[in-house]
Amino acid sequence: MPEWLDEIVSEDKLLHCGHAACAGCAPAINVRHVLDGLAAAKPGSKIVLVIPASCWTIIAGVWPTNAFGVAVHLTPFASAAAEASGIKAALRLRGHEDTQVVVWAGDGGTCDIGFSGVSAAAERNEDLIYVLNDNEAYMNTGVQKSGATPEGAWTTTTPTTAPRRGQKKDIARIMAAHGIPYVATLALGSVPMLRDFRAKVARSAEVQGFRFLHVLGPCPPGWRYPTSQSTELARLAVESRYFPLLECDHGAWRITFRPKRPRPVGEFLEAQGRFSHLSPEQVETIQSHVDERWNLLAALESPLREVAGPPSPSTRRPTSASRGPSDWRAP
Amino acid sequence: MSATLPHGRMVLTSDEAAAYAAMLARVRAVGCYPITPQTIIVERLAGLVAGRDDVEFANLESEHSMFGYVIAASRAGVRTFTATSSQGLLYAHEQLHRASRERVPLVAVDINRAVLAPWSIQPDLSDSMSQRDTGWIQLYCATAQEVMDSILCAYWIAEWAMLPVLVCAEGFLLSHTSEVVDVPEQSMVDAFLPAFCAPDEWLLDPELPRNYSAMTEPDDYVAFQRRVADAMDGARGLIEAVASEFTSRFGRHKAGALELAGNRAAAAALVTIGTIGDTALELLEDDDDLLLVRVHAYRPFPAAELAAALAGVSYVSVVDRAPAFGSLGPLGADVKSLDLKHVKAATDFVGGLGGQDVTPRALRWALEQTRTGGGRSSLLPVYIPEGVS
Repeated sequence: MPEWLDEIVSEDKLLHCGHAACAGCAPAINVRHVLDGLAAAKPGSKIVLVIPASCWTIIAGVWPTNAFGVAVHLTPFASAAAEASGIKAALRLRGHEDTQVVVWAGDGGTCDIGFSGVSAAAERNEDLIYVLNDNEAYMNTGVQKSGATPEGAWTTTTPTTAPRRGQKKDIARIMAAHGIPYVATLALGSVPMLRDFRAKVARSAEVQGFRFLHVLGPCPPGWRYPTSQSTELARLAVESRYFPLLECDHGAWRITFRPKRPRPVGEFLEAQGRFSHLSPEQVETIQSHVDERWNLLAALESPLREVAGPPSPSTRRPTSASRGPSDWRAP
Repeated sequence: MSATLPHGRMVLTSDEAAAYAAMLARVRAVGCYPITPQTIIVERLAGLVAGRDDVEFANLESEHSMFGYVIAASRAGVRTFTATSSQGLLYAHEQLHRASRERVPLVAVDINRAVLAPWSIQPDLSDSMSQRDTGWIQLYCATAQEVMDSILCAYWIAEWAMLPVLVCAEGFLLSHTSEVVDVPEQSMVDAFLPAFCAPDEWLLDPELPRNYSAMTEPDDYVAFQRRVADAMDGARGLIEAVASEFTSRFGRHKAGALELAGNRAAAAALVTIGTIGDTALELLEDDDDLLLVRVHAYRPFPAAELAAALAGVSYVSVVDRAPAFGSLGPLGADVKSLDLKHVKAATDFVGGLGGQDVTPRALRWALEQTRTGGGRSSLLPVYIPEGVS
């Protein structure tokens, strides 16, 4: 086992065993790597976790328990970003400047009801790490459509007889358009993806200002697939370019994973019950949208890289999960 | 701060008095979102804290976020301030329930304004009255001086009771009219108001991995609500004690729960809230059989004090400045819930909605209605007719 992986496997975990997440919950793995990655990047610093209404209101534990090894501040649905701003402000006044204030919010809390708050906190460039845990629907209430639900997906409020129309909100580009210092998309589908994931978490820890991490969170009951397949779903999402892994670091876009032989998006869709009603033509349409978005992102990447270039290595502190090459491949 | 903040007697609006009071209370985090007629408060505060690194001033994108911001900042250990009006308070409603149930000692100012629909930016109390069950202590003011003094007392009350306090003042009638206000010296306020010291077991502490407001089982949920209710009951005595302490330190009268005026042995009583209580003082010039009761602390409701004040009267007229559609006005309902078996007639009037003038003439009309009319059995309020004022 490589040293970096050994470090990650053996680290103290800030999400404890016994939490209340469903079997196969990918976000449970994701949040562990977000928190542990942030803790590893800033040894000795504390973390305050801000969670709006979501599955995580419950997973965090029934009173008086706490599933996390950090202080947790639960908020109403729409105000996580504003409250994280208030906590950061108060901690700064009280001399706890080093404390990392982290929001862990769902796609409803980010793309829908809490969107104005997220946008405003970004526009103020609050010194926060905002993590979107995107499982692509209101899962805690039993799978209802959100602004992050992909086209064609079944949910209980977009039944197969009246499917979801329109496109999944492109929240990463929307957030990048705020001019915030760091935006990245993350998914955990393989060991190399873990390396990419942790590198982005580590990078977000060393940047000042509003950092936005968009993490794909496959959800067995909501996406309708067996609980053993969460990692596989994340891998298919990335390798099919359905969920491109990228970052926008101080305005410089970079696709951090380019599948050499992209899989058809149909392979990702077919693995889930929520897309089982789609006709071959509808899958083709989705494929064309996936291709269009990839081309758009690829176009964003090149010219900006030439102008701005990636941030100088000298401004980065070494981290336990150092950045991988930009063209690494999944096994 | 004391170098830049003036003190002594000066001409101020209630909005300006509120901004000065927040500064005197040494608030450290201010949440701001504009709405008429409150906006002057946050404008003044923005100017007063500009360039200071010991006060955080946040321009939020909504009142919902603004209340969330001050709740979170308070939980993380600093004294906060915010202010709003009307739709803004309604928009934040969810956060108001949450603030009291989380025992967050916020102090907020509500410059009372009518609510939609139709549009009106004129004063009435519909905005704060519709928040009466949110678990906030509510103090209603009649002058700019009372706004200033109540805010200073409110921090004491909030941080001792660990409950939020809403200081209410009617828009334009108070927010945009000027009067002489005695602004105390910073040193006097510092001696009166101790620094905010959040209880350890409540504080959001980055060192302690606690899960705040976690999901509860029914018995635990009930226990938390009972504690809010108990704290609210305990605040009754606190409101009186702080008012009396304020009075002795600052050398001017500070109302506790109630402000009484007129003949304590009168047959008729007029129960008011807010600036109507100030207008009512004019009635005493030619009516010596009248007791005026102005409710300053509306929540917790001063039931015992009010019952004692009304013990000898035969006619009670209550004037609400807010409707409660399908029922009595809020203040009228509370007064009528008292044991008033000795009272021959008690009538709840609703007036002053959307800026309607409530004149001495209208109040005399109301008193006469109660004396002569059949208000006693009325389960509905009597709306003061347009022609009367």
